[in-house]
Amino acid sequence: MPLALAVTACGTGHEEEVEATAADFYAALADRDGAAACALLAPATRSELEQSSGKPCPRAVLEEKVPKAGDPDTVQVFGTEGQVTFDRETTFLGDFPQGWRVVAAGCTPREPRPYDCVLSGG
Amino acid sequence: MRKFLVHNSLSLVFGLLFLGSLVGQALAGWKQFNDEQLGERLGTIGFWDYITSADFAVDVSENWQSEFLQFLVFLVLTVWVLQAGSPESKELDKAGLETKKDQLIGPHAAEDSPAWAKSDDWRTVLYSNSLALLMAAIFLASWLAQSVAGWAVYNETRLEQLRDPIGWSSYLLHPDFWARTLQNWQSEFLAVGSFAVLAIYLRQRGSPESKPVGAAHQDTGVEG
Repeated sequence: MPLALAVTACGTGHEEEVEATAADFYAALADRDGAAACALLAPATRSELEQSSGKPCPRAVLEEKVPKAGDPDTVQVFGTEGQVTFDRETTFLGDFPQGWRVVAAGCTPREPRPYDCVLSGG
Repeated sequence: MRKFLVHNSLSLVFGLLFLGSLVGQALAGWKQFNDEQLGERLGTIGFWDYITSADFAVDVSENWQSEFLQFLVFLVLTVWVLQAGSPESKELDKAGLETKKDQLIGPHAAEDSPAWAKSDDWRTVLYSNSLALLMAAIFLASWLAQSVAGWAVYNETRLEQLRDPIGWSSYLLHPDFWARTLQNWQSEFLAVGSFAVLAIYLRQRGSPESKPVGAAHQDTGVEG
């Protein structure tokens, strides 16, 4: 328990990884590399995108109106969940066996309700 | 060796029971966590990651803090508060800190009394309250641990729900923290209170926690 408490209190040490994953996702979108962007999506988010658009993910993700993120502002990680707040939007990530993946992107706040996201897992 | 085991069997048995149930809790909690993750279509984690997680820490610490609070409150209250007929209470004319003679302090200490009971100075005052002080320290430390781990777990849930995390000071005022705290406190106080009353009328032969089987219901502070 003291080890878990120390990790909790001092941060999980995954902030850099979470920020890098979000940045890579937006870089892939900016480069129009749909395959690279889809590889960084959480399985449920990818599945939801393909079902709702009726197209393969690499094509569908480029057609979603995910705004350009801008510079990263804050990164918060709690357990298996992370959040990166950019200038113009917020991204939510989850920790999966294959690494951190984007669960929701292009999110805008609507307190006290959950963020409204262009891409999300459901 | 056999004598050591017999003379320390209470602590050894409870130590083993504690370790066994802690390991069992870790395994069941890990499976439960991953089951919930699958339900939320999120990633699962390994056993080591679970037992070093805030989820495990809050489940352990919220129970520890309430147990030590229970002992602390019971320990201190029973100095002054009485229950006629209960073996958990002092005799009805003995409320309070009692005399130095009753408590074997200073000049009334026995030859084999602890050294700090004999000194009759600040060391005796400290030693006279050492049990409550340690219980209070463990309670406060585990309650602090619960607040930090519970804050992390609650924020993990908020992020799953696509909501912003909250600060630790806000969490201390949040229903999640107080629901976790009070659900544990109510059961602890119920257990102690009901035991103190039930033991007035019911018996467990041979247990020091019970009155002798043939003791009268009105006998107070008597142990079997």
